[in-house]
Amino acid sequence: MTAATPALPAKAGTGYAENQVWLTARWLLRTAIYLAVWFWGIAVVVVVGATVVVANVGELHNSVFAFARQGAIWFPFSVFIIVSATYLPIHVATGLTRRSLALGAVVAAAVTAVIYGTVFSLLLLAERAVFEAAGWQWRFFDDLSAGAGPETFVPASFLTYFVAYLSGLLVGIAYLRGGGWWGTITLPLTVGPILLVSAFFSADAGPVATESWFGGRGVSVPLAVAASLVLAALMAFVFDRLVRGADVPVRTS
Amino acid sequence: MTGFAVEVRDLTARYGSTTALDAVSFEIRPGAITGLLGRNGSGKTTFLSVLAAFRRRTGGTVLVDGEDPWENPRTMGGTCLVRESGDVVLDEAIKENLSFLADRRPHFDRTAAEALLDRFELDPDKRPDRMSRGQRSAFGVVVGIATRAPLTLLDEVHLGMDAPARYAFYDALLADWIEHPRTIVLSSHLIGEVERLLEDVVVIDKGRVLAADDATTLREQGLTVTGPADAVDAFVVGRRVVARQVLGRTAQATVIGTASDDAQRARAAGLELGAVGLQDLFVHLTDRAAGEPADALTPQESR
Repeated sequence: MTAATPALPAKAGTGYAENQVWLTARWLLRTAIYLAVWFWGIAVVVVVGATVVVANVGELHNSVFAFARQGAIWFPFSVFIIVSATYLPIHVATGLTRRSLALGAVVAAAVTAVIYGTVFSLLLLAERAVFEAAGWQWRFFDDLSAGAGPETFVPASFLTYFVAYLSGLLVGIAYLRGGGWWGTITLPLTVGPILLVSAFFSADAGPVATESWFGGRGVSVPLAVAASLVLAALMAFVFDRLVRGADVPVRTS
Repeated sequence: MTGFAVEVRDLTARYGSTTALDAVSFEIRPGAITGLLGRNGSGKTTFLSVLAAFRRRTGGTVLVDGEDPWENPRTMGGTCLVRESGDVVLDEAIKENLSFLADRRPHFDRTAAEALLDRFELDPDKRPDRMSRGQRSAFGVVVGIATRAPLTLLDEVHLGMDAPARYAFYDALLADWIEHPRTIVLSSHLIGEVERLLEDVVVIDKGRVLAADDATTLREQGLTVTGPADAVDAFVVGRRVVARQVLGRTAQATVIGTASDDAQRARAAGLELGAVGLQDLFVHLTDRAAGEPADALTPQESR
């Protein structure tokens, strides 16, 4: 007696396509969370060490953890480049649609941003408490967000990270679809949003200070949040379109 | 129904100015093992990539189980294309890859996969990027068989595998197909090795279909004539001779096309008749030594 393979996949009923999105997001998050644990573990060790050294040889005036912001932007950014440039063949080869990859990757980018933003914000607040207890001056200082308080750096962190990780996805898919030349030529469009969203939240950002665009008062935090969300939605839409039209690279025998 | 049927009408696929498939039309029967034969660059991989929604077609129609496969969750979920060495997670152990597939493939059989790993002597703890080419090909075979997709497409998966591993693959594929009938398309250069597996055959060359029929009918489209060299030469006068071998005073000629009195003439001349081998037919159809390849088989020659 033979057991014929059914023509219709058993899981292809209601919810099959939606399930693909969560499967994809879970898989991508597995790697992202693993790397996040390493990143923040190393960051804590380095920052604590730097704080101890500076406290013994000089005076502390600014948050040391604030400098981890750049690493938290660019490290996952590079991971998401790799994801969108290399994962497509594996995803499609397992019978999943590009739609599920696009949506799953955006969900993974958003959750990763929440994780990094939450950890970063909590570590900053913990650091501030330690500084205050030790009688040191604590001030959030970063190139684009000098002197910002939690009401600024918390939403700024979440949204900057989200936009940065979407940017990584865009860079990867641009290189996959367009090759080296187009991937490089479009970098201002694919990476530029990171600078833009940082500028939205900046109080004094030099040549890219948004306060100069709005009569010297800067963009209010709610407005910066709204603008960043619109920017992220636009990036997610473009990423979705690019992924849905992507061919799996040819690998002839 | 035991697997997905495939219907292709005027399928065209281009890469820039290169035409990989030029308005090809044929059908693949559900539940059959079909051989997709063609030389390097003939368009085999492009065709399989379109079926598996790896790439878009440029023109024409492709129906997998009656539907356009592009971004179709049902047909994509039921189609498994294994390219050489497979598209697997290279930096995860084989056992992690099996879990990855089990979560995504509706019919994936982990027990069967683990039995095949044993058969091919693959270590479940080893990562694909640390395996030899032959081992990676074998893992691709494991994925292709254990996925049990209603449309399984195996594109030159045997490359890098040694002869014992290839024969183990053929036996495992046939045994699994008998137990779980489904549509399998097997692309291969090793026609002599895979010939026994094939029910149907499609021959592609330079983006055109040269023959598409069941293997038995194709074999009957020609014959081999064996006997004294003079008698063989006389028998094949005016026929399409695609291969000729001489051993001492004995010759064997392979001709395309048959005549109603072949058997009678052969008996009278003391000649033996046999079926044409797919390999000879393939070489004839795709031989470029004299310039352009041979014409596609006529409707009589390829039903």
